[in-house]
Amino acid sequence: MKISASKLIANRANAAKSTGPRSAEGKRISSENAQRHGLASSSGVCLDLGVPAIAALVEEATRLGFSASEAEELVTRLAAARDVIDAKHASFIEKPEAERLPYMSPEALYRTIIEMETPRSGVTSAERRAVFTLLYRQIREDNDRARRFAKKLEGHRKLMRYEQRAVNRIRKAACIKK
Amino acid sequence: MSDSKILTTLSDAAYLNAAEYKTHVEAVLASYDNPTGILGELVSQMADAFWWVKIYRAEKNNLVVSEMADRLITRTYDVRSKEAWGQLHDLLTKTASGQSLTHDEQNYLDEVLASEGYTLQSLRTDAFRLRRESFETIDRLIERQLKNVRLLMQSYDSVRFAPQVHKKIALEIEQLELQVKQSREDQRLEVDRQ
Repeated sequence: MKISASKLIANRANAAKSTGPRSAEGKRISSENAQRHGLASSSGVCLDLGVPAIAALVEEATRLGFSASEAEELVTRLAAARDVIDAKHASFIEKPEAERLPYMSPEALYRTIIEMETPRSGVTSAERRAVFTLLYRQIREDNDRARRFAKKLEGHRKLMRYEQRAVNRIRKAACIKK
Repeated sequence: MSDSKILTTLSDAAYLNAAEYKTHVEAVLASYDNPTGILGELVSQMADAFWWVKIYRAEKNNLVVSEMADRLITRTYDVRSKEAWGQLHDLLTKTASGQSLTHDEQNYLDEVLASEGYTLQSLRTDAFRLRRESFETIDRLIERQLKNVRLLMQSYDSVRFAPQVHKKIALEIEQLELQVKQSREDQRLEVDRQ
């Protein structure tokens, strides 16, 4: 699609104003702007060799005949896979029974909301409807095991590709290179 | 089994201390002669994959039974009664797992099924049809876990036999170096002779 000359000039002028961070540090920081859980990070887990348990695993791998870099790679991959496992368990945690809202029919909920209003509160019908929708959605979720399970399942479905990558990388790192 | 056993040194998340999970992982570790270190971590991750297969299968059954109960209760009652739903859920769970029902329980279940025009089989089929999407996801997740186990088993074997393989490779290299040295020596002798 062709754009006008004035538009082109304006675009170029705007692009010249800000083209993002320039220093290496700035670029590194902005590369983490959209990070959510870090499982997709290409650099993977940063291994802290100061931790005795990790140092022991690296040492063990070296004793098994892996080179220093291969040993670190193997332990890094194991740690990355463990992170995915942790994330899977975290996404499967059930909300405690005490924190769930009790079942209430839509009529009873609406009645309760109205009864809680004082004459001077001045709640509009749109606000009342918003509160009702929010609470009813939560009540349905808290009282429907299948719905809660579907949510957990979705969490695991999203983690599946990280899981696949983590295990494939372990396999690759454990392979003995001739 | 001792409580002090550490399932992994790479995480200290709370799930690792849940009794059922811990027992499961320890049983898998025991079947591999309780390896520690890297092999222990690999077996522990394998055990985790087995754990999820178990959970997914149990949840799949539960989902079918819940959907079956939903089919009956939502049509029978105006207000979804929690107790009635729970009772029906228990009966259907018993039936699905092959447990026998008492005479009264069987009568009640037959009555509810008949009032909705279902047989147990048609109700189950209906439930499967309605939850097809979730089941497909569960099946994919189970498949993924089984693939994980296969890859982790291969990694386990690689690490387990690494010292032998490394020794074999070192010997092969040594032999090749000797061969090269020998052929050079032969060449030198041949040149000298000529």
